[in-house]
Parts: sequence; C-alpha cells; structure tokens
Amino acid sequence: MLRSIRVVTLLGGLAALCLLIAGPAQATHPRPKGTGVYKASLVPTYVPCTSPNLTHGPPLAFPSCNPPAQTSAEATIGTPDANGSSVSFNGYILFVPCVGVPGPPEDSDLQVTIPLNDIRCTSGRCGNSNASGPADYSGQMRFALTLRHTDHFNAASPGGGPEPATMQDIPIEASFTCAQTASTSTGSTCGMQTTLNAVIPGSIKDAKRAIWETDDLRVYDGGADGVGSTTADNTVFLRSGVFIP
Amino acid sequence: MRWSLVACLAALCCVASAQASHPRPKGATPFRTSLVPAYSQCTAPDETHGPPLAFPSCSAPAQTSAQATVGTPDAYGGSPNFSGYFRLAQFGGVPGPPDDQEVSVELSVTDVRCAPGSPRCASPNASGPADYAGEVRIVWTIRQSDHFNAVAPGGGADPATVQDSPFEVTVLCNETSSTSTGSACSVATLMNAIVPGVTKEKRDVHGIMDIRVDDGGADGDGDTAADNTVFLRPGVFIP
Repeated sequence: MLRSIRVVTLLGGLAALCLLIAGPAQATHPRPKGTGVYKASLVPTYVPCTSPNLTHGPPLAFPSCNPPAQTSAEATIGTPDANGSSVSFNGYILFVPCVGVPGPPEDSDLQVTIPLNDIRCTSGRCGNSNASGPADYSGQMRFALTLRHTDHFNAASPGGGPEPATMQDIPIEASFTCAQTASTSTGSTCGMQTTLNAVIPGSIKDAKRAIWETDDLRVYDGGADGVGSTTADNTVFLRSGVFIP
Repeated sequence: MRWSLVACLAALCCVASAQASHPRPKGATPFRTSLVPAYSQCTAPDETHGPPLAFPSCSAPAQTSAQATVGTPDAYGGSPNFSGYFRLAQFGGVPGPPDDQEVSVELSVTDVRCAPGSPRCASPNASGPADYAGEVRIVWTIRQSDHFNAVAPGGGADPATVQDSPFEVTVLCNETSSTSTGSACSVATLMNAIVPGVTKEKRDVHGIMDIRVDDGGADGDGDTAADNTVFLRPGVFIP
C-alpha cells in the first residue's frame, strides 16, 4: 500500500514537472486558420486639411482645404484637368502568403507585388517628355510599412527559440525602380515582384505561426536624388484607397 | 471694347480656377485586407526574436481585445477556424444624373469567441472558449479629395481635401449552432446605405487609413465606443 502511494506520488511529481516544462511552450498566441490575399488599391496621397477654407457638401459636410495638395514633392499621375495628361494610373500592393511544407527546406514565404503605371515628375526627376502633361518620372520608389510581428521564434538569449512573443514594431521597406516609357502619352512604369525572403533572406520560416500586423501601406517617391534608400528626402506618394469617379 | 476685354479675362480666371484640380487614378478598386488578431505593442522586451529579424520581443503575447479571441488549440483551445477580411469596392456609375456611384462594404469574420474573463460569452463549444455574444465595429479613417466643396455650406464644384474623418460600421455577431466554431460577424452593405448620399460622381480620391475592428466592449455594444478594445487589424498569417 505504502509502495503504491510512493509510486503514485512519484508519478504525480513527474507529471507536475512535465506540466511546468510544457507550460511556457503552451502559453501561445491565438491565430487565424489562414489569411487570403491582401490587395490594397492605391491612390495619390494628399496633405491633411488643417486650415480649412471651404466646406464639403452634405452628408459629409466637414471643413475642407482648397486647393488639394499632393504630399509627394517629386511624383504625380496624369489627369487632364490637373496637369493636362490623360488619365491612366492604376496601382496596388498585393500580399500573398505562401504556406510551405513544415520541415527543411524553409519554403514558406510572402509574395509582394506592386505594379504602378503612368508615373510622372513634378520637379527635378524628369525623364522622357510626353505629348501633354508632365514628363516621365526618372527615379526610384520605396514601399514601406510598420510591422508588428507575433510568432514562435523567440528566446531569452539571441539566436531564436520556440517561445511565442510579440516583437518590437519595426519598419519594413524596399526600394524599386521605375522605367521610362517610349510612349508620349503615358508616364513611367514602376513596380516590384518579389518575396519577403528575397528582400530579407530567412525572414519567413515554416511553422512559426507568424502574425504580421501592418499599419497603413505607403509608397514614397525617391526624393530629390531619386534614390529610394536615402529616405530623408523621400515624400509619401501613394496610400491605400479607392477612387469613386 | 474695354469691358469686353475685362469680361474675357474674368472668364479665363474662372476657367483657371475650375481647372485647379487634383490628380487622380483611372481606377482604384477593390481594396481588400485580410484581418489578424491584434496584439499589444512590445514596450518592455524580455526576449529576442531569432535572426534575421533579431529584434527585442515580449514573451506571452497579449491580445489587445479584452472581450474577443479566436480558436487556437495551443492557446485557449478550440480548432483554428478564424478567418477574416474587410473589402471596399467601387462599382457602377454612369456619368450624369442620377448619382449612381456606389461602394460596397464587406466585413467577414468567423470563429469569434469570448476572451477569458469576458462577460460576453454565449453558446459553449466542445473545446476552447464559448461563442462571442456582442457586436464588433469596423473603423477606418478617410481622407477625401474631390470636387464637391464650396465656401458656403451645401456643396459646390471646387476641389478640396476634406478634414480626416472616421467611418464606422457596427456589425452584429451571430452565435453558431456548431460546438466547434465561434460566432460569425459579417456585413455586406453599401456606403450609401450607411450614410445616404455619401458617394457621388465627384472624382473622389478616397484615402483609407487606420483600419481596425473593435470588439463591443464589456456591454457588447459597438456603438458605445468608450469601452471597446481593438480586436483585429490588417495583416497576414504565415502558418
């Protein structure tokens, strides 16, 4: 009888020890079954209205600022009654999660696609001229977002481990090029088609249950030097939105 | 003769003013963002993320919502059945009267469960938290640049950027009869049904910012926003 009690006590102690060891690994984070594509149509960004001089019509009868001012100091898009060009711009940002097979090799990833067309210059970054309106934009663009990342690849010491945690918010940015067009009726074509692991090798791993929270997606111009990676002079050109003709 | 010249110049000035317009796309639609649970910002890190994103991190990830969560076997239990998206899409609109421009608004969220300690619990599930009983509220900020402004109230033809304003839609969550999944919260409506007359043929560049889905707070009521907490934000999940 006493022996049975000892065995039970020992087993109980072992079970408690197992639970203590298993506890931290099980303290994990609620997550989706999956997420589909994330497609943000893009529109030109305008300066916030802080000193209104007009009023918008009802039902959104809020103060408004005339004239509307684009935030970009370098890039614009064709519009007949703004700059004399025909209207051609379309653009979006598309994220597609790629679910890999657990285990080596690491084959999970995130596809990123950004196509933009009819990008024209507003100041110094002017390339091929057009029949009407501003010339083609001759510089780079830069895509940017702020990431809040929660996954199972953390540890008390550097190098990574299985612990769930939320990482400090970080910026994710990537520059991409614009190509001037031979056409005299449309501006430059800019874009990127890549994956996160191509931009930051090893950043997406299998089975780490990674939740990527994003803030507002932004596309910056390349600034006065046209270089996306020298960010001090870049200004916001495009943001998420819809256009209601 | 002199007056004719003045009249011509005045007419030119008027035309110039009307032409001081805003660059705009040929089209920009649809906007569709997938949604993920929102977590608290890491401000007092006690761990480090693995390379190459070797940044400080905070263990025990904490959801920002005090009322709602989603099924996850190794968190609070329950199968992982949550998925969600928010979508805006412009459609229709033949130039000229009547104003028939429209923007559809869709929110779809599945497997919403009550967070531990929340009073918003309804039908129990076989495992994990019970179905969430309450509303959620989709909130975003719009920055609108269009041709429907004037000095006097009532609207006009001048282009302008409107002061940023929030746009909010409260959505009722429905409990499910299934014991393996939580509540479903969804809406498919039109912007003109939410705010009649809001979409017009005015060259509206409709910037969208700061999207989030709040829970309904302790009272479950999305419209009483003071106690609501952020439940979902735009993002992607890589399993």
